[in-house]
Amino acid sequence: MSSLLETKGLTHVYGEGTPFEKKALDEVSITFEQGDLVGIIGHTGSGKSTFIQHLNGLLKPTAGQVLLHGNDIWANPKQIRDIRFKVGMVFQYPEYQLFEETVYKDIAFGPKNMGISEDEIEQRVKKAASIVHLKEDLLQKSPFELSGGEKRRAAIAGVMAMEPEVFILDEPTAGLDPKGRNQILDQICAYREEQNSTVLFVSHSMEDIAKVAKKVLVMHKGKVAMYGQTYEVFSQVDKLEQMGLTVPAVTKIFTGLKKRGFDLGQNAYTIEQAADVLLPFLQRGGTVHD
Amino acid sequence: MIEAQHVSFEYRNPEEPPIVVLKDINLTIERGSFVALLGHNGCGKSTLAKHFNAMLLPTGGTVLVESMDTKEEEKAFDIRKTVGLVLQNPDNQLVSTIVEEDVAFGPENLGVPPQEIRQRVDDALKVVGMYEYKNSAPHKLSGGQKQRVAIAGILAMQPDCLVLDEPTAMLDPQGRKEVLDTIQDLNKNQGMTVVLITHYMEEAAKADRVVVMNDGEIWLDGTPKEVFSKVKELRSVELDVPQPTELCDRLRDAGISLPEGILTTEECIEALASRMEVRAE
Amino acid sequence: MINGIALGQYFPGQSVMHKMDPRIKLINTFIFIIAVFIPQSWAGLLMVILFVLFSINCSKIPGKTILKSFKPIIPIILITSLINVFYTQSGTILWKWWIFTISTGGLNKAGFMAVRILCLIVGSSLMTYTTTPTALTDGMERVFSPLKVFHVHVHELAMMMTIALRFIPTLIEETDKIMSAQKARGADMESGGLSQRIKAFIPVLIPLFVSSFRRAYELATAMECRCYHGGEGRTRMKQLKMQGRDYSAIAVMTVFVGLLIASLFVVPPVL
Repeated sequence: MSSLLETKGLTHVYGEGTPFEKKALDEVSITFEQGDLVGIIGHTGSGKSTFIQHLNGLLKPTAGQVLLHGNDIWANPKQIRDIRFKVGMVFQYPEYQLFEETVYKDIAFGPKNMGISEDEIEQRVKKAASIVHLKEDLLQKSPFELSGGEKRRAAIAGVMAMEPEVFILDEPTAGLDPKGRNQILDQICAYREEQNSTVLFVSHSMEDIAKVAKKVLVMHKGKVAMYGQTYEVFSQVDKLEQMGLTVPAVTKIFTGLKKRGFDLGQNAYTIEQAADVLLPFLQRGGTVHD
Repeated sequence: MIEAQHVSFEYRNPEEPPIVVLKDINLTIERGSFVALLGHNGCGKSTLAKHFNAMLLPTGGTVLVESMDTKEEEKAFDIRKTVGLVLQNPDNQLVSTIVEEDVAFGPENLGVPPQEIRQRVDDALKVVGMYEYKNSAPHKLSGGQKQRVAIAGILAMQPDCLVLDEPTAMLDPQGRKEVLDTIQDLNKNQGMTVVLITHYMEEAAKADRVVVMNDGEIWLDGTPKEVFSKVKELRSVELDVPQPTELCDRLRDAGISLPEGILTTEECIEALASRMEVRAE
Repeated sequence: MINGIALGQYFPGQSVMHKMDPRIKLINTFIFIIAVFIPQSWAGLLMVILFVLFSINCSKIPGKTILKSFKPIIPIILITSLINVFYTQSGTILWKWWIFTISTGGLNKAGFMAVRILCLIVGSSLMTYTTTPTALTDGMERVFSPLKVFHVHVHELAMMMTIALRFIPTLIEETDKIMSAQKARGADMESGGLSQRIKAFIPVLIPLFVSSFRRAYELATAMECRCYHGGEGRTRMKQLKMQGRDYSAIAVMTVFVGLLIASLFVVPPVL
């Protein structure tokens, strides 16, 4: 059985043959399975944006392949639009792409391009709007009348309504306050559960990644530097720091304690986990110091 | 330095009831201090910032900048020269196609003699660490670099106070660090009064004083230790606290006695380690 | 894609012409454009050619680049030449068919005109090759500043140009982003007839307009924060100062125009 989404030797060179030639992706081979929830991290310029834009065929690989259900997405370039409906992508600051007269029409833009029936469009728009908690009466308003957070959610709903199998988001929480950040992350998870789809999201916030992602992909200099379960990746604090990346503060606390001779047996990257691990040691004590 | 007395502000729209943004704000910013202004989007913090340099005028109450009332129109330039405002989007505040010419924009508007502008521009660019980029085009710079140029543009007007409205919200971690280091350096080494509006708690933790706004009012005001020790209150309005603080709060709830006011990972490690050592003995 | 668009035609360099005061370059180019139309004889035109060659030499722009810049104007030259060939009928008739006649006079005139246009294009593009858009705007503001007397908003116009130059790359980048975002939602911008394509661009144009207005508003706020209040009482960091090379350029230009006018009297016109 083939994997849901796979890249093989994916390479991308910008400005090939010019003095400004730059290799943004260097033989990236990676597999995503159905239901994966992957956080993608990496420095600005690590190639992560270039990478995700290949997954739905917005960029064409210089070399290598992107396979969806085992089929090369570029096998028939005329069909690339269909790929974009299956692999949905939300760009950074997606609220800047809203253009329709009403929020409803804007969310319906994607489904409409898919050529599905009006009834189904309506169903999908309503479903997407409810996932992102946009109230029904907002749907008939102009998208430009919404608040910042609502605009962002409407734009995300616009991609959700296409009901993609793979849902990719580039920094969905950038520029939002803590309340807005948590809402959006919860809604992305809700969509994944609802559709049993695969979600990939890029974020600079290690706390967000730690809170939500099951797996973490670390990109560095156009290559996959690490890919694994969240706890595995965050346990390699030194390696991440060498790449100029940080780890969640609680992970730092655990590493710090380990350096001081307190081995807690396991790592932690969320506050809940950390408290659970720490409590027995703090209550009992005694057995940790060597 | 800046004094807000019973400041209120509302957007008035002829057909609709007025939208109240600020309600009876009383706040004094001391010279040389580093104040962080926290709060949700829409809590009025940006509106308040625009009152500090007379970009907005209060609908009730008074704002005094170095004893100048912001309502006096002829003082507007003196006020803006004293309190410089840096905005969120670095792209939308750079005017010129060359970095040094952009930094010169402010002093040129003030009619400063050419020789002195040159000096001020060079100094400002050196302070923010962007001197070697003085002949670059802004669109070729990273977000953090652009924001530092924007700060230099304000510094070249030689203000006494810098108000920054979420200067790091659109930046990546690298850019955020660059900008925050610059701000801290300005406060510590140049004696600049700084008002930093942010919703990153780690940034606010670096200030001398944290003011939390909620729904147009000042809700909490104190040192970072005082403010962030109110974990439950902050959580109740869905504001974050730094992770170490929250971890300690959870542990305390579970009956572990830990000192109050832990903000940084180092402090947290220290507290936990000494606690475990005591247990171990 | 769209990122490939070169802005202006500036070629970085350190030549005499690069270093010249932009005001002088502007004024000289203006005089040159008029001067090209003075000569009526091949002898006069030869002087123009020599002057252009001399200028190219001063600019240190490689000949290859100059030749490349001919490309877009070749059709214009061809068309004007053809019109001239058939329109002028003097001298010996070489060829005749229906209403079309080719005469030596026609060929002569067509050649003369073609060379003249070439000189005009090369001469005036040297200015944009050697001057940054910023310096050009700056130069224009100062050259036209006497027009303030007639209530022409010279400073404001220059400021607008500067801001436009500053924001063009930003907006190009933004257009790219919005296009990708709409493509990701299945927008089809590459196929269909003209009207369909125009329609397909609405999802790109509206967000672009909205964002431009937002940017304009924020920029206005930022400018106000930096005490901008128009050109009144403004000083400039960079003072333009006339140097030796600028005076020489004026002198060369004066001699050139003088010689051209003299040639009118000495050599009889060819046409």
